[in-house]
Amino acid sequence: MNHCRRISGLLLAACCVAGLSSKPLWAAEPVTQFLEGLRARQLYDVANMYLDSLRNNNKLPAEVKAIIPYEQGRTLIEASRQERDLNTRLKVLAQARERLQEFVNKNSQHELVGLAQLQLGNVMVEEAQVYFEKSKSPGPGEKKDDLLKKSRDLFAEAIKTLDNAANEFQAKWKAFPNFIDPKETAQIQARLQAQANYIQALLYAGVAVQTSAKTWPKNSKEYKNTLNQAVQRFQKVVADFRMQYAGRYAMMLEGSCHQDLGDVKRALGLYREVLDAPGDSPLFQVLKARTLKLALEAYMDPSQKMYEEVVRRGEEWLRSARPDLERSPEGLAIRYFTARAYHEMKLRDEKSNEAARRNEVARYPSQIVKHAKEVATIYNEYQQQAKELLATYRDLDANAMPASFAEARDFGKQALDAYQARSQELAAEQAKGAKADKQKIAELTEQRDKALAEALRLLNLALTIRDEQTSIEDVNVVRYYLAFLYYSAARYHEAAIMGEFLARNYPKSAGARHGAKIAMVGHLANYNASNPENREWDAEQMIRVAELITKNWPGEAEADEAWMLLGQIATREKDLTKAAEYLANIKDDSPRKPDANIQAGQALWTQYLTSRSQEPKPPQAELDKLKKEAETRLKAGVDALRKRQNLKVNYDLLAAELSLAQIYVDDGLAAPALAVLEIKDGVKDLLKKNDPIIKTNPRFPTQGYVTLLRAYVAAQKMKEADEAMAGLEGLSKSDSNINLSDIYMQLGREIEQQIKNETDPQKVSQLTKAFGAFLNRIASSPQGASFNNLGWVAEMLYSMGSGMERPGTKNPEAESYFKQAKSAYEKLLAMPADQKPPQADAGIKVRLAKCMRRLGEYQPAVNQLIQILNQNPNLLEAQMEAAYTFQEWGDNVDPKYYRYAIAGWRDRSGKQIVWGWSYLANVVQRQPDLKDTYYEARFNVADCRLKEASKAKSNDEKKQILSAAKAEIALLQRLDPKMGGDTWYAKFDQLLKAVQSALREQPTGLRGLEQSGPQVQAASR
Amino acid sequence: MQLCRVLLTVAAVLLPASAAQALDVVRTVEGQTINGTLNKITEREVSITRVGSNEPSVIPVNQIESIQYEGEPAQLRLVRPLIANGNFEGAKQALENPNLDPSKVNRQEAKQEILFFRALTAARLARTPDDVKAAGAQMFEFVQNNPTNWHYFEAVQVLGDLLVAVGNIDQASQQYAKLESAPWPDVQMRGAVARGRALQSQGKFAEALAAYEKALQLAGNSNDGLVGTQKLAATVGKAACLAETGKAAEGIKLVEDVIANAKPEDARLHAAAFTALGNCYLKSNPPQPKEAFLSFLKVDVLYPSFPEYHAEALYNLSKLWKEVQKPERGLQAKEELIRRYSASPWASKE
Repeated sequence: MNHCRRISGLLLAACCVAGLSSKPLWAAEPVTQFLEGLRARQLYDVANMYLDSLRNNNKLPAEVKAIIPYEQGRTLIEASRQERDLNTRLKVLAQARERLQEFVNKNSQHELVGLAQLQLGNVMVEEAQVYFEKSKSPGPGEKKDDLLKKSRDLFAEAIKTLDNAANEFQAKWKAFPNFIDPKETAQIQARLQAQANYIQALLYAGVAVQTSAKTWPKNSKEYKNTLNQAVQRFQKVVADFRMQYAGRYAMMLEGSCHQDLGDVKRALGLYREVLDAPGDSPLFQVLKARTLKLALEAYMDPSQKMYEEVVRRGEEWLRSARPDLERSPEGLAIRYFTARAYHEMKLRDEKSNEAARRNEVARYPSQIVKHAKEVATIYNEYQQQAKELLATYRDLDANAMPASFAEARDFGKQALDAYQARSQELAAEQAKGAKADKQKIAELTEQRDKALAEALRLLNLALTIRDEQTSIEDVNVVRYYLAFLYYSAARYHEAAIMGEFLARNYPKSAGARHGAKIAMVGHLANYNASNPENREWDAEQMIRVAELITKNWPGEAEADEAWMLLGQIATREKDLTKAAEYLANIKDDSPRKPDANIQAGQALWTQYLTSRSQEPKPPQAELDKLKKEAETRLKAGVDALRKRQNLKVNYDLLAAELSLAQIYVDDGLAAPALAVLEIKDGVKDLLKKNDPIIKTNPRFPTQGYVTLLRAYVAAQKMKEADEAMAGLEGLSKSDSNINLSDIYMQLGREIEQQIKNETDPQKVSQLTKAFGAFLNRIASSPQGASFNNLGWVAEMLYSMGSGMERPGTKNPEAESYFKQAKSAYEKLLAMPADQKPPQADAGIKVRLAKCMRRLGEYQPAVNQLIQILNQNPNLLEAQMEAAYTFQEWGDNVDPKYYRYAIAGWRDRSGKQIVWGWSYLANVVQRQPDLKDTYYEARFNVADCRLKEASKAKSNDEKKQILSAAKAEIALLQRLDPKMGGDTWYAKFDQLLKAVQSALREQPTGLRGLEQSGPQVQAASR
Repeated sequence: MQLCRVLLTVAAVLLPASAAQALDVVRTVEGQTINGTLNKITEREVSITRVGSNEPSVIPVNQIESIQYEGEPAQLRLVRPLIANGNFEGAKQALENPNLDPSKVNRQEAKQEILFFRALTAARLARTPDDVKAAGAQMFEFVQNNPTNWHYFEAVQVLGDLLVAVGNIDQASQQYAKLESAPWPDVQMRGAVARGRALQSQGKFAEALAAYEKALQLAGNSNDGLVGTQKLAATVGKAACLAETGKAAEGIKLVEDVIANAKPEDARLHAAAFTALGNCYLKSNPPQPKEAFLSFLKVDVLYPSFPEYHAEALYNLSKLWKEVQKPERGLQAKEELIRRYSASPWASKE
């Protein structure tokens, strides 16, 4: 038996000791009794409703109204135990504390104040239990040991509070004189109350100690010591108040401690003493019932297995119990144990060799069914077990075949309950992963499937054997069960049909709404299982059901959810028009509209990102439409949610804001992106606080910081960008899966692509500036220390400079980038050899030389290149760079360098180190893969001549040079009339025309050469 | 302690039937105990000569709570408190003791007592139509054969209730009329109230109202004792009729006053009152289903041992649980109603 439940029951029971002297508030309205009854049935919300009605009842005496907060507090304590979510349980306990404190503050002289104070101690005990439960599976950010410590600390605090209360009450009690005149009834009552408070405080404290034992491993030294302490406490109460009700109560509690210690025999001895004690008052009857419950449980213990004793005592008690006690939680427990004992005896003896024994056993099933049925019908702790026991016996007993609709329905419901119970147990076992017990899983799966099949059979039978007397409400409940079971059995068509039938024909029936939902998801399951070309029919069914739901329950959650589902499907099918139509069915003022918009927006954004990376890419117009629609939906959803009062930020909202920000950043809109990201309790805030919400998706924190970084870079807020990078670095330290280098490179590519796609010059300039700053940060960051990253940074900076350069004009911004690139290349060169690929230096030096050339540092550039070419004369890139450097040198400083550009450079020994364009062209002429390079070289020869000619000192010199240029082009044209293709043809054509113009000839270009043919060629010789 | 208890039990079993006590004992509703020798018992009064006195004391039957007979089987003394507590199941088991076989009991009054208790427990435990018929037959036999037993008027009322349960209102009314001809106002009132309930169950609210008014007239201004109790019961019945005739608000006020003045131990009256209150809330304009729900729930939680009210409460709860968003509890209430009270008209009502 669940230890917690038993102890909480004892704690509850302990407060009944109040009955000793504090009379129930009956007078007119049976308040206390009714509340006790409601709490026993776990009808806490009804109890609260009742207490609220009392508040408004003007006919109630003030003394009754005064206790409302106290009763609310007690109800909340018990209600808290039903909360599965532990954090909610703590909140409910906090409310209980508030009510009890309210009562104590307003009614300091009330006779229940002592009890209220004890209940406040009880609240602490309950809180301690919650923390203990939490320690079994700590949430994000929580540690098992911390929670266990908190639990133990709370228990200690509660025990201390209760002990202090006990001392206080004892002092008050002892303050009364030993003898009081019998006529002084008020004083006698007060003394009795003081004594009762004292005893109760002792018992509460004892139960608190007993309960705290479970925070230690079972059978550990601390566990046993704690229980023994509880035993001592109860023994003291027994010794001091043996002959009184309280003494017997303490004896029962002492017995439960021994039971927890595994000393069942000793526990039973104490229970028997209580049970055998004289006394038949109503209060004593209740105590004996509680004790009997514990005793029967002990008799059932595997170490005892005294089933006959259970049956004997159970039957005897049931024969003589008052009807209200019989139906009490204790009475139902006694009945359940009696049934259980019969069951165990049957299992033990049914194969006995003695005929008499077997005959005896044959009558057990009827007893089991009789008792179990009673327990199964009333809401109580053992209701589920009783149902399962009943289900077991229904199978064995052929006479148990349902003879009526009601029977078939009841048995079917029991099988359904068994199916759900097995499903939950199976899920729990499977959740253990590698530690799961495979055999148990197999057994549970079989039991679950069997229960499902049985439930379907019986409930269908119920529908078959119903008659005119059967109420339609009962029939519809069965239909609803069947819809659910069909779905569970993956019989989606039947599930949908049944569900829709209910919703359409009996919309007011209890199961109609849920039936409609089942119909919807049934059709969805069919839709998903169908081939894409066959899905239309299923989609039509879903629309029909969605329309039905909207008609029957307009504006309700089910209707909106149905349209949202259809919207998702349409989005997945890329039918945005339909998706919009479906979502339009959700009214704008529906509380679910924002969520629908967010859901749709996220689906569209995901689709956009997927489509964008496809090959071949869809048309740009289509992509733009997707993105725009995603933005509209997300913005509508996010704005609406953020306007809500008392908004509780959840993951879906955060994720939507992040996606919206990503869209803005993608469009280069840094300001709106940051407005979304920096909203209070938004992405930035929660990332900074490391709020548990952001861990809902492990990738969210990284994506959040990346988006922030990108937005800050675009907005040129480098300090904030630094913070975002620091955030990313923090993440990478705790998660080795996060590769910052990859993230930065990816980010850089995205920004680069964005710049390329941008047509607005102003935006280009802004983005480029920001990108440059970002690249510098990377270069100076630890991530920039790697060869790849720094190399990429240098390339990016160079290419940005190149992008900004305009021929013939100096651009300080471009120069700045070239300088930064140069600095990066110099760092690369300075890196130790083991940190870079072998022979990487040659390439770096070439790039360095390029930077120098761009900065007009021609001599150092040429020196650098000569150094390289001395080692690697055939390094084409270096040769070309050297030629270009000479060429530019000629453009900007001295035309004499054009000659070097064309003819190259020799060292002192006459060795051709720099080839120049002419020699280069000869070298690459016969290499088909270097065809472009060949024409480039030939072009540059002619180009250099043209430029040299323009700076010639005399006309003759000019004419000579120009003629040579013309001859170069003509020769090339003779060798290859196509001039290397359209691009080069056009370039040469333009160049020739420039030469011809400079020669004051008709600029006929290459056409002219083609037409004039041999004459021109002859003239050129 | 355990050993002593065992010995006591054995002694009780071994005790010969005649070796009980040497005196008759009459206990009154006011808590008086009179030891002596019974002279005469009729359906209206009991005459007993106290110990140490020569003059007989005549006690009206409506003032008597119980009589113990000299020479009666000891087990009979175990049955009385079970019945007083409403534990009819326990009483039935106890009556199966061989020593309580009427044929083996010498003292005539004790024999009659046993027969009455058997018929009474059968009536109180009757759930199925067959049970009701069988109990009715038993009680009819008792009434026919023991017209001068001091339990006569109580037996007549129970017989009337059983006749109502099988739908035989006319014959039930005849039985109740016998009560209305008793010499004491509280018994007369009981008859009128019972008749009122019977008529009410038939939907004859105007006639039922008249019966309740008659009972109230019989009470006059008295609010005490047995008359006071019947006055409250009549008021409850009147309130239920008012609810059915469009005067629910008035009915609510009446019932609330009853509840305020009823003795806490009068559980049956409370069961009747809360059932009536629930019906008044349902019939009020506008209906107050949540208040009705709470009233019926009180009957289910606090007074489940009065089948006539518990069945009605369960029926109404089966429909009202959805008011607190727990329709599944409504189903459970319906199931319990059918299982426990299959003979009740509420079990088959839509």
